[in-house]
Amino acid sequence: MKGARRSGAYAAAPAEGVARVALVSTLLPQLPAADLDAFRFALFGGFAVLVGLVAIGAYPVALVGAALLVPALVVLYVYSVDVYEETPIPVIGLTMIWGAVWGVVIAVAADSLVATPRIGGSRWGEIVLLGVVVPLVGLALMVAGPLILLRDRRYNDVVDGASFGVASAVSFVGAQVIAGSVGLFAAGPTPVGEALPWIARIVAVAIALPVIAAGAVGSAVGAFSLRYRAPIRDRDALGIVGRPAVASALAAVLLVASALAGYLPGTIPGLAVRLAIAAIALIWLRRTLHLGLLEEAFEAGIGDEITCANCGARTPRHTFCGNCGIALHALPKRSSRADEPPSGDAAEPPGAEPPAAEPPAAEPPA
Amino acid sequence: MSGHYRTARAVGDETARLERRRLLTLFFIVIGVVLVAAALIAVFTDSPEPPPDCQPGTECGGPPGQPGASIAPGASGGAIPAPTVQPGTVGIRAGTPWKSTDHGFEFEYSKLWKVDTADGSRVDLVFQGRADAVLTVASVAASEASAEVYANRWADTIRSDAPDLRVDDREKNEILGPMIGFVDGVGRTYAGTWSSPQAATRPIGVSVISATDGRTTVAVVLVVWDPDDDIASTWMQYAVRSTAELVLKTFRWGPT
Repeated sequence: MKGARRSGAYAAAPAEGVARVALVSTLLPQLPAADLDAFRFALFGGFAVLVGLVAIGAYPVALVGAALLVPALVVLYVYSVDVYEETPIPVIGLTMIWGAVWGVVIAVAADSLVATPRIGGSRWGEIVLLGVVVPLVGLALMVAGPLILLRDRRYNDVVDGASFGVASAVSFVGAQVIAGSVGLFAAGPTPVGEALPWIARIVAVAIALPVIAAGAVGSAVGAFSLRYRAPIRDRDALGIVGRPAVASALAAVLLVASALAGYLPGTIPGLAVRLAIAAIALIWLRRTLHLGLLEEAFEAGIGDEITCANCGARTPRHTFCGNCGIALHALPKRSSRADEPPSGDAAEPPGAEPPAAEPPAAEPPA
Repeated sequence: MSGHYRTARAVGDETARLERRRLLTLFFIVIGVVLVAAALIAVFTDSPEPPPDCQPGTECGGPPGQPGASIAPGASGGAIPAPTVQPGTVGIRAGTPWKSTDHGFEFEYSKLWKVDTADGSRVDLVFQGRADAVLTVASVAASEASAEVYANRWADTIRSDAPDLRVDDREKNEILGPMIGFVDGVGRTYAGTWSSPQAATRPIGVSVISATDGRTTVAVVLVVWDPDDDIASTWMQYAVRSTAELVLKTFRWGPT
């Protein structure tokens, strides 16, 4: 296991470290390496288009594009790797549609509750509402949909939980931005405004805000998943942040800090703080996924030889690819395979404890 | 509750359902369709430019002003010389009065406005109609800031919340003959966007008029959210600004 044996290698993308701030392999963990590149190209290509729109002054269009960039990638990811297996409607409904609907509701409610801001004066009421209350309510709503899904035993691992949390969060954030910005369209396709602050705003909307929400919510739902769906001996795998209460509190801190950063004077300080929070959220989510994959590796038996979808080498059907070291569980599913005769360890009855296997070679971070 | 892992489904030999080229094609088609739709919505919801108030060849009214005293938005004509104020100049009592205890000036505002906060030199009025707008009347000693400097200071204050704020040179928002209490001053309009911590972004229109009587420099600052929305066959900023004009017309500078 070349890749996974490397200390600190990320189980879902062994060429990368666990502590690396890598956006695509963290938000979309079940992609083979070759597909990661395609999603990266889509992300950065899409972002370049948005910058071009800002350059020509098409701010409303750029804002909508920024709000939909990451959610669009997640939709394609969910479909492409078959996250929802045989139940697309409940999964899409309780993650992306759930998040989008509540994002609109919260945006409309916040707009009607906030008094007209005072210019250059004290705005404590608004800061408490938009900086603290709205993020906390939003967190509860973003987590609630995926938690309903976790009652289904098909979705009982950390990768599923985190993926559902990510999908719910990015949809919520995107819908919230668009619903709260409809007034911008009345100003026409190219409203008056300086371009440089808009670049910063597009970075925040397209990257920082969805990544913070995805990291916080994905990790929190992953913690719930590990705590209530994993075997008892694995429930402390994530340490204290694996406890749902602690994970939820940490997620709340990240979301509130991000919202309060919006009140920092100037464009750059607020964006810099948000990007730093996004990096923290991303590494937290990455660590959650990594440890979840490692813990699951203890459960699997060894099956027939397969071709690894990540590197193309032949490897026993087990937990990690013997060549590239990727966690095989972090690769696309295929619902159609459910109808095919299983081989190797795939014949276990639901609820049965699989036989113990040798532990994976990847070393979990301290 | 004892859980179990779904290791039976960790196959590992499945590739992604979407081939790379197909994935990218699909992604950019989806994004492209969304962007085009957004552009069309922006084009069709854009408020049309209003017809000019004054047609060539007709007699037109307009705000009072002295020839050459008007300062176009965005113009930077340097410090405005302090004019001489005629004693006993009074406006029309047509609204609720407010008086500055620090600088002695006073004005009246209509029922469409309500005092939010106030101190000796500044009052913030919130619009009570079907629009989000704030009207601030603030003052400093003339030795502290000229009208030009004070107008710039207020633009910077608003820019801290609306970083993309820029001079609005659209004719429809131009301030004609800017004056406060019949004292000529600096008039500027700006446009930009106001964004919440959740990145909910709304356009704002800003009108700043600043003038000085040689002892006190006063700024009247109007911020209107969604300024281009249609309202009563006109646009929001114009409609709200009309209700704020009473402040300018009834303004009386403090005793000399």
